[in-house]
Amino acid sequence: MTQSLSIFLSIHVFIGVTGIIASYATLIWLFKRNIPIRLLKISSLTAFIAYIATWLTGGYYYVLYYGGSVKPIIKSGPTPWAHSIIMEVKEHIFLFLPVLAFVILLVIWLKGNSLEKNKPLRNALALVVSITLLIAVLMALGGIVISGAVR
Amino acid sequence: MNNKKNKIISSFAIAGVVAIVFIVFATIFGELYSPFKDWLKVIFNHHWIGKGIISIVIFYVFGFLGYFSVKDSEDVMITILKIIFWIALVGVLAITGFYLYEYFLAH
Repeated sequence: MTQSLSIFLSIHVFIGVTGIIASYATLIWLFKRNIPIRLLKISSLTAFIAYIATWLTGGYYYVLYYGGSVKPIIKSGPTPWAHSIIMEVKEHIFLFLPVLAFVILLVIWLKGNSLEKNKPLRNALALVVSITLLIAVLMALGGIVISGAVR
Repeated sequence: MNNKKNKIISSFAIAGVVAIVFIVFATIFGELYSPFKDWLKVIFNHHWIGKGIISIVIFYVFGFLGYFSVKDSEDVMITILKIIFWIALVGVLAITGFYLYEYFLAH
């Protein structure tokens, strides 16, 4: 792997974890007695930018390097399922994240002030944030499994 | 202005539902019908890039156009937010179930 690809992969992991932390913070802050709207705006924007950035960096590595160099090693090794199941699921379900993060961003930036009084809206938003966080965590765990399969 | 906000959120949440349904469809259909996956490769250089670009185009086009047709109701907006949660959850299970089936049963 070239140094630039190695850097892209490291950035991908770092930004992905940042997205997870931002989504987690969004979920936690939604349930505070006094909802910190300003912090929610920052965390939701951070999560959206992080998922876009991790998409671009991960995509760059995946398209240019993974298919030609990593995938054959995994498929011929003792854990071919790491690609056939984990990577296939990861690369496709990931595409949900920028969409979900943008919807969360819109709700918080446009309706943030009514979240404290409007419990049905807050609870519906919490569901969307929860599935976003769950997907993001699954992506990270999938990445760990795939990295382990190459070694 | 508040109604405008409801409409913006509702239209993009509906667009999100459509985009997620497309991703699930394109993923499973692409594996079952290789000419579709090949077409994505030819047009976008890689099938995954194709799915990503088309889903984002669907999301923003439906999001902007949906604004003019969606109802300006807070109840509708909340319902659509719940729907996008369920669609995302079903999408995760569908894609995961499909690749489990492909690996353990189909091949």
